[in-house]
Amino acid sequence: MKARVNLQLLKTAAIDSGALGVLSMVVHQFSSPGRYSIAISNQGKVLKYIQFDVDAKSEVMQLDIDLAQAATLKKKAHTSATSSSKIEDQTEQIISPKGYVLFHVSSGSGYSVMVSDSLGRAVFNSMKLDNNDLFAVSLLEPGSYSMRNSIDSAAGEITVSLPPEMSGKLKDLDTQYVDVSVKKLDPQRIELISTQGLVFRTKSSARIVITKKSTPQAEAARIRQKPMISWRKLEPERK
Amino acid sequence: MAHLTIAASEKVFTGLFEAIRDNFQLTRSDSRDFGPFTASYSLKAHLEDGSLDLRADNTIQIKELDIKWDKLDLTLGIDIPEICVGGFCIIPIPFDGCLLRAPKICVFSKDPDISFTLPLGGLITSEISVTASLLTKYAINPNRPAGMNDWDAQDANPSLANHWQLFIDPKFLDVDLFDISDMVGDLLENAVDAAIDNLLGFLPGWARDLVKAIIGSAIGLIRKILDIGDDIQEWISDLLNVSFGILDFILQLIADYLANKTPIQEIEDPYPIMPADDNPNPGAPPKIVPVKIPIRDLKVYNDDKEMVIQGNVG
Repeated sequence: MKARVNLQLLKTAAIDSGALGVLSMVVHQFSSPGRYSIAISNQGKVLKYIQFDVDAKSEVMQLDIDLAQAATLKKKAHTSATSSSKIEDQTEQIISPKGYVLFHVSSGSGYSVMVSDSLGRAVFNSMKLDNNDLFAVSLLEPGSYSMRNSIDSAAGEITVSLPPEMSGKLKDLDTQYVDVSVKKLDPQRIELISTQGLVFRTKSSARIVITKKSTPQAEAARIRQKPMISWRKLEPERK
Repeated sequence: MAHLTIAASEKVFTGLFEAIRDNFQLTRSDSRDFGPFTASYSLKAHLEDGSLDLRADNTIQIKELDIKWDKLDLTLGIDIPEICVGGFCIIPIPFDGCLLRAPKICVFSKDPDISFTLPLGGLITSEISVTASLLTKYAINPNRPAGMNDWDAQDANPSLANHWQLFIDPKFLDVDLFDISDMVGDLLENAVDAAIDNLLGFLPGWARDLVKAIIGSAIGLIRKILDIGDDIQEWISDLLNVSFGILDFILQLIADYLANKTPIQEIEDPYPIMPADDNPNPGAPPKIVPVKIPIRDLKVYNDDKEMVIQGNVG
């Protein structure tokens, strides 16, 4: 059988907390019990509304919501009579107020969420992360990347490399963290091994954008490139 | 006392044996599903060398008869296990694990399978020793029509005569298990690397390296899936000998070849002692028929110097 590879994994050039793609995810804690409505958008266009409940009796500490999958779920045959007319899909997703909701994407890119409480108040916007939100990514392709908070222009650099030896131990890599505060990313330089987790812990408004700058091959080629014009000293001819 | 006695020296007998040895050829292929992996083989073999010894106890011994593997291709197929990224810890609990973990996304949509072939033909040697006695059998030509007389049978083309046949009847066959060159380890590693490179050939180089980094060394993966352990030669030997039973099959085939299929000598019965000739008697049929004598009770034995065939006429 020929290998069918998830090429989206390997061809992600830019990663944006406000436009989620494969291997990027945002995390928010909804500490007030109640029913929440999620508007799932792609490229700014709302695709789907889904719900989840925060219940003090729940012991669920992690609720993963796959935005790509949720956006393509078929409408159920019957919906709750009490639900809002906007709500297309009644889900039974429940989480503890001490738990975390993780929004991720299994395929595609450009996803964002706006979460509203039962009174219709916006309580979370993935395009503008806030205090105590998390943005987690995993970078695969080796090379240099820039990381930037597009809200206040704080910036830094990321270098991703393959492990020097085929160790088979990539799963044991410790996650690296960047603290995002006003006009500051700390640390400003991060070195990662391919697939290693990187988590941005936001202390202020943030939209993190990671952009690939160069690959190691391109960097090596640039260094090796010869100048177009060079000088050499001619030795006098001997007679 | 026997009417006929024919003796052949050990040298002559060795010549007879070598002729049938050189005609032996074996081809076979088989495949099995062993769960975590599939295996198949394709082989072609012949016999070479071997020293023949006539012994005083009416047996013969053939030593160091080599099985030469013209081809022994062993093909192994495995599913590469799921290769996933993600799954890292987002919120750790100090000294107590992880509170929140990233979901995993798998590189392959399905578990791909790879197969690779190890050409073991030149890397394996096997030897057989045979202890046997000599045996005579009477073979009635199956193509001969009922009622056909011995002279018409002799004249038919091909001949439809019946024969006494002389066989080597193995009593014991001993085989040295596969002796596999330690080069097979390198062979396996190279084959696996090539198979994985081929499987992932359409990916950029860094992605291939990454997949290899995730699964660990390819040979390590294969060793784990195949449960090879430390000794790959022993593993291959067990696979061929025990799982596929190749040597049992070959021994049975050689025993059958020697004892039933291929006589070392055939004696036509009735045996023509004078050929057909012109008839010198005027007025008689122009030809006189061949003179043939029927042979019965043909027996064979040997001592340490010669093989002796004895029979009666009538």
